[in-house]
Parts: sequence; structure tokens; C-alpha cells
Amino acid sequence: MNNFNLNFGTKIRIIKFELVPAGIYNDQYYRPYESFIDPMLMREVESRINTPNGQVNLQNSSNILNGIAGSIVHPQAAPGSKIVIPNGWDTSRWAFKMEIEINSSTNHKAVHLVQGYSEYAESSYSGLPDPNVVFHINSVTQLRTIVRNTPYGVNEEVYVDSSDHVLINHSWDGVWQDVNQNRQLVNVRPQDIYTHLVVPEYAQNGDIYNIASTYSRQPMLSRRSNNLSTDYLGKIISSYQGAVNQPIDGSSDTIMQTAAGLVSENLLSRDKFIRALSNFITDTTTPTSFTLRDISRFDPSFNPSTDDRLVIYKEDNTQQLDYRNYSSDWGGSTLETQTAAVISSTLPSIMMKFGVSKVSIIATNQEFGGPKIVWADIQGFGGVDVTRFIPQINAAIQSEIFDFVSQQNQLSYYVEVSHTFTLDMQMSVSINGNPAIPFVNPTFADASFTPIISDQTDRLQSMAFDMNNLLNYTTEQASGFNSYQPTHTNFEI
Amino acid sequence: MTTKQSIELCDLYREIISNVGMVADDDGFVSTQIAGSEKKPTLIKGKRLVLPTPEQLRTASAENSTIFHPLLENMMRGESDVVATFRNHFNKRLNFSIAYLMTSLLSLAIETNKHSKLSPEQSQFLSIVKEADEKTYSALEEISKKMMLDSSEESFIHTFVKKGGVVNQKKHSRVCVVSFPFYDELVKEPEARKPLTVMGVRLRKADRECLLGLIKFIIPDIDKPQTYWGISNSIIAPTMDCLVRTMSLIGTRINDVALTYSDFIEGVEHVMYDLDSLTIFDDLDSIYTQIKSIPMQLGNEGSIPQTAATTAVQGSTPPIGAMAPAPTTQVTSTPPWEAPQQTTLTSWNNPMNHNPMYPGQTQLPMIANQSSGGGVDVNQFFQRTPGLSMFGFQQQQPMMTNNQPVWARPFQSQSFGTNPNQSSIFGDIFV
Repeated sequence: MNNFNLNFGTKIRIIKFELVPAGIYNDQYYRPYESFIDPMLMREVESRINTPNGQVNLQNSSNILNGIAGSIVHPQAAPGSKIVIPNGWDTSRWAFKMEIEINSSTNHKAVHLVQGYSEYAESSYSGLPDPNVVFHINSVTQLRTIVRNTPYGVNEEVYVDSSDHVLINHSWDGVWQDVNQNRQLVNVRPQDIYTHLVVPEYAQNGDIYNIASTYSRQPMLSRRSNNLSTDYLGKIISSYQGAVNQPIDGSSDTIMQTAAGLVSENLLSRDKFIRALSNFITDTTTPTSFTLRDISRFDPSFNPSTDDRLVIYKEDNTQQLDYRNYSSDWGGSTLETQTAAVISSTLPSIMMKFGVSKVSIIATNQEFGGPKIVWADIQGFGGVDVTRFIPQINAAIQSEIFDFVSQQNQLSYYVEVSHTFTLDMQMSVSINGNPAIPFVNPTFADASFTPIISDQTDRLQSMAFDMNNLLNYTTEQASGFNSYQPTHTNFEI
Repeated sequence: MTTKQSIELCDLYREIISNVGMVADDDGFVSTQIAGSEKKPTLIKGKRLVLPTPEQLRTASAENSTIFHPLLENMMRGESDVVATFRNHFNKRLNFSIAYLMTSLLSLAIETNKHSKLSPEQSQFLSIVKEADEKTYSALEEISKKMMLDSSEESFIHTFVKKGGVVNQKKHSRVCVVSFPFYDELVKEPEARKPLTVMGVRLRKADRECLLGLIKFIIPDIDKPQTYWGISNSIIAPTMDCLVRTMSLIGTRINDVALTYSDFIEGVEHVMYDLDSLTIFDDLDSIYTQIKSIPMQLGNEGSIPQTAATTAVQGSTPPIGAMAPAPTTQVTSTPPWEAPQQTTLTSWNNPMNHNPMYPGQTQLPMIANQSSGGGVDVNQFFQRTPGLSMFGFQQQQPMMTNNQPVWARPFQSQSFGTNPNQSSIFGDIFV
């Protein structure tokens, strides 16, 4: 075993580096989270907080919001501005998956899954990638393997410790590129919502935005679970409740600051892989891209020419497709397009929660017996059997995606999805019996279009406003302060 | 079904916007047009307003278009850009209708040779304006020139939507507050030994009495403006609901007057309201699924109060009421008015009925090739005034044609009226 020994007492080894030819895709658009609150939703929230057994604890708010969070917070239907990816979405490129083993001095073993895409796909005559091709990191995931001795033998289970999107703004290259000129991108992570609420005067100025929330050149992390509306809303509510319960001075600002701290994102600079990279890529403290040369420096035992850890799938294995010919563009604002956007931002995060690397499902409520999900394929990371998670995954998919899409089963749907976590997602979406519309989403770059990035500069402001009202309302409900009134007027503004 | 539902909702939207001086073409592009004037694209912050037709939903660019979908309303927010534009048109169209009726009736009052043709019912208003003469007409004309069409100060009528408004000591989700600035100024007791002026126009005492009587005749209970306040406690689209209820309350009265004098007022159909389609607002639940079949569109999501977030966060200490809701805008100083008439839309006396017919007519009056009872060829009007538009303004401004307010340019009628020097109400408005 060839290990590279870092100064931090951490040994890092590349286990596998896979390159898969990605297709050519339609343009992608920002679809940031938008919030929508109406009396019906609030009554539902009320009824879940005020149960026959008394008020529930808001620190378990994820459970309270199951099935309705998506209706409150979801990616907007209307396409925002186009998202920039190096060389454009019509360029052939590789999607990559790199597994790295990190052994710390405490003998704790963790596997990092680094996933992303190359700027282009050009091979030398030998079939090796151009050594100068730049690979951009889309997400970093920490997997933990636990070996159990069972009556049936040794069982290896893979758990996901954390998974974060790496937010890189490709429209910033010293200057804003044309498509986003004069567009200030902002983040609307839970942390940003609270930060905004602490210092709203900056963000409300119209010209001056909270610097901490601007999404500019500086890369940063965002938890994948932020793409799940239940987690997103749940974090906001439970962290607020957690902050209220802290022995602090009780001022609003202090509570907001504490709540912001409770939902703070992981720091990119603390990611072990990024830290290791930064030893060799010195032009930035938080490198988010690398070349094959960098990899060889990172792990000197890794020789792209001869190393069988580098696996390059050829086009004859995985056909490189121009999906623009086979799928709808993403420029509409129909319910079908919004559904596809919700699925493509949500499903990978659900899969990641359960260590699933590949799925193929049909979901519909058009058959007798209510909503149904039929599984055609499911695979786990490292080939681990994850079929036992299917009931939980079904529940998550129904709650996060289809309860919103169907408006709590008021609209009918028939959706087929086939998705490989590190590559792309192919969907066919039919709502209310209308013809099925095909969509293909390049999920290998899904950090670019996570709904927590907004090209609507006032979105942070409006989201914070709605979340503020929601917090106020749920807190009052949970404290019994505002007993149920059968009228919507108790949440008028 | 989505397609079908979308089309049905689009049909409803077409009918609603037609009452505020907007029309949509087959592709869903909305234009501003009143009384057959030239269509002008309706823009919201520079973006073309379009209906949520299936094609527009598929292809409309958010950079260039705003999709009209006000029935999906975020209850937490304030007035959306789309509703603000709708209400702006609503106010302009209301002012146009009232101005049109006032000038028409005043003109009829002056033209004494027509009085013999009036029925007893139609003659009733003459006693109110018996002192009216050409100077009265000129004064009204002068006032009309100054009228802003969507102004809380210089207009015949103005509406805005209040959240959590209190009417008759009861809080309502939304209240469409209606004011009558012209009447309010007119009704003030004139100061002793000072010239009587209204909207900057000098009036004789008789003029004041005539104009007061006339506007009270057109809008009964104008001294109790809450009579026309639309209130809504709907859990679906309350803002549009209360606007539509005001539209119906006032539109019903305008239709009444317009139909009563349709034989004597040219192009009266241009001031009328088609209220039939609005009855769906009595049962918005029945189209809730259709409404939700079209996602929230940019421009419809609603504004947030400028200071609400700050106030809410910094207002008090948690946990109870930790983050006080944004200040509720209430008409708390409002005296316990009489409750507005709580009528359902279906019960309104809608003189338009499903196929409005004018007395003595077997089909709807048409602009083209129609000759009025007064002998004016309406078609000529519109051929002569291709640039007519009251509603094409994105900013408040009086109706202007060739840099003159349209009120200012008298139309020389060849066959209308007996006094060739008397300007026609039609000309004043349309030319």
C-alpha cells in the first residue's frame, strides 16, 4: 500500500478514480428556493404541532413537516438565468468519481467520495486524459464503513457521515461573464437566513447585501441535505428552538446568532481532501479543482499511465449522448419542469442519505391504492446491498417530492426516473395524464444548480421574511400562546 | 387535463382582465386597450405580461415576460407586481367609466331637445342637474383634464388593498379600500368669502350642486364609501377576491346607469363591466386544483414590507411572540362602520346578464358600423382616433394625445346635439 503522509498525521490514498463520459445537455437554469405559505398549509402545521397529546417539541420539527415542507419551500418553477459551466453544457466532458481513503492517527478509517466533472474530455492517443484537463469538484462525501459479524458472516455496512456540495461560481472569472452580468448571486442556506435576520438592515438596503451570504468567487460548502425541503425547514425551526433554549441573554439578535451557529455549514478549508490538495495547489487556500498532475503529486504512487486505479469508461461502454435531441429544455415554467427540477435537486440527496449510488424507479398515484413507487434498480456505494432501506427511501421520496408535486394527492402523476449518482438523471414526467415530457439533468454538476443559490437578489430577503413569520407562528403554536383559531387571520401580516 | 385546466383558468383570466382595460391575444400576450383604442403591450417592469397558456408556460422567458397568475397568492406577502399592475388598470378603468358617464349625463342634461325622448325613469336625474349649463360642463371637462387616472388624490375613485383591515370592528384578511377623492373635495363646505374651487377649477355654487348631485346619482351612498369596499376572508387569493368584489359592487352600479341611458350615450359598452365570469369567486375552492396546476410565477409571489423583517426580529423576546409578526396594517382608527353589504357574487344584480342586451337591440352593440341614437357613427370615432389609449401608461399621467390631455380636445360632432358649438362628450374622451 502506498500512502502519502501529510503533516497532519493523516494518510491519504486514492482507492479508485473513475471517469465516465458525460452527455451533452440542454442549458441549465437557476431555480432557487421560493417559499409559499397559505392558510391551508398553516392549518396543517398547526394540527401537527397541537396534537391530542399536547404540543410537540419543535426540535423534532423535521417530523412535523413531513409531506408539507415541500409545499412551503421548493425550487421556483420559472427559470432564472442560465448557469455557467466551463465550456458550456454542450461540451463533452467526463464525470468523475474518486474514492480516497483517509487514515487518521487515531486509526479511524474514513472514505472520501469526491465527485465532479472535467472541463472537457480530450484523450491522448493512448486513451489517457489530457494531463492538463481541469477537474472541478462538485461534492465531497464522507463514507464510513462498519464491519459487523453476523450469524450469516461478515457484513459490511456503509454509512454517509456527511455530504456537501462545493459551491463554485463559474460565472466569476475575475469578471462576471455575460450571462450573469450584473447579477448578484446569493445563498439562501439556513445559515444565510439567520445571518440575514441578525443584520437585516444590510440586506434590505437593496444595493448592499450581506457579504457573508453573497456567492461570489469564494467557494464554499453547502450540505446536500439543504436540497431536502424537510431538512431545510426542519433545521431552521429546530435551530431556532434550540437557540431559545440556550442559556443566553434572550435578545433576538443573540438568538438569531446562536441559531445561525447551530446550522452553520462545514468549512471547505476543513475538508481533509481539500486541505491535502491545498498543499500542492498554492494559488488558493481552498482549491476546488485539480489536474491529473496534481493527483500524482497528491498521491505519488498514482501513475495515470499504468495505474489500474484509474478507470476510464469508453464510449462503447457508456454511450455519449447528445441529450438535447432526446429531452425537453429546462426553460419552461410548467409544473412538469418544476417537478423535474424538484426531483433532480432532491433525489440525489435522498440517495446520499442512504448510501445509494444508482436508482431506477417509477412513481405514480394513477393506480388503485394511492401513491406507489416501483423499483427497477437500486445499488449502494461499494456494491453494498441497500434494498433494506427501500421503505425509508420510499417514504422520503414521497414526502420530499411527490406530496408537493401532487399537491397532497390532488394532482395525478406518472414519473419514471433513472439516475446514477455521479453521472446524470433521466426522467419522464407526466402530470394529470398529459403527455410525458422527458428531462435529463447533469447531476454530476448539481452543486451549480442547487436551490440554495439564487440569482434573484431579493430572494434571501423574502425567504427570511417568510421564515421569520413561520418561526413566529410555529413558536407561538408550540408554546400554546396562540390557541388554534379557525381562521386564517391569525397569520395575517 | 393540465392543458385543459390551464386553458380554463386562462379563460377566466381573460374575462377578468377585460374588465380593467386589458386584452389578451390568442397566444396569451396581454395588451392594454380601452374603448377600441390602439393596443399597447402591457409591461411590468419592462417585461411583457402574458397569460399562463400552456405555450407561454413552456416558452416564456423570465427575462422578458411576467406570467399572470394572481390566483396563487402567498398569504404572507404584500401586493405582487402583477396585482399592482392589475389594480392600476382597475383604477384607471373605473375612473374612465365614471368620467364617461358623468360627462355623458351632463351633456344630456344640457341638450334639452332630447329630454322629451327620456322615459320617466330616465328623466329622474334631470332634477338633480337642472341648474347645469355649458359652464358646468366646461368645469367638469376642466376637472377631468386634471384627473389622474390612478391617484389617491386626483381621481374620481381610487382603490387599494389593505391586509387585515378592520371593518365594522371585524378584522378581515383583505379589504379593498375605496375612496372618492373628487367627491371628498366637492363635498367640503366652501369657505366663506373665498372662491369655490375643486381640483383647482373654479366652480359656481350651482356647478357644485350639479356635480355633487350627478356623482351621487351615479354612485349612490358615495358618502359611505365602505359600501363599495370589497372584503375577503377567502383562504385562496384573498387579494384578487376583494378587488373583484369591489369591481362587482361598483361595476353593477355603473352597468345600471349605462344601460338606463344606453340610447343616449355613445359607445356605452366601453364603460360597462362583464361580471358574470366573476361568480366563480364565490367558489374558488372549485378551481383550487386548477390554480395549483400552474406553479407560482415570478412577479406573482408578492412583495415584503420594507421594514417588516427588521421589526419582526428585533421586536420582542422569545419564546412567546419572540418574533412578532410584521406590523399589522389595520384600519384601527376606523369607526365602526356599517358592515359592507355581504352579498355573494351570484346574487348581485348584474344587468349585463349573460348576454347583455340594450333596450331595443337584438344583439350587442358593436363599434363597427354602429350608429348611435344620437346619430354619431361610432366607427368613425375609432377610425379617427387610432392612437387612443387611456391605459397604456406605465407611470401615472393623464390621458394624453399629441401631448394634450384627451379631455382637452373637443370633438366637433356633426350630428350629435343641437348646439354646434357644444363639444361632444365623446369627442372629449376619445379624440
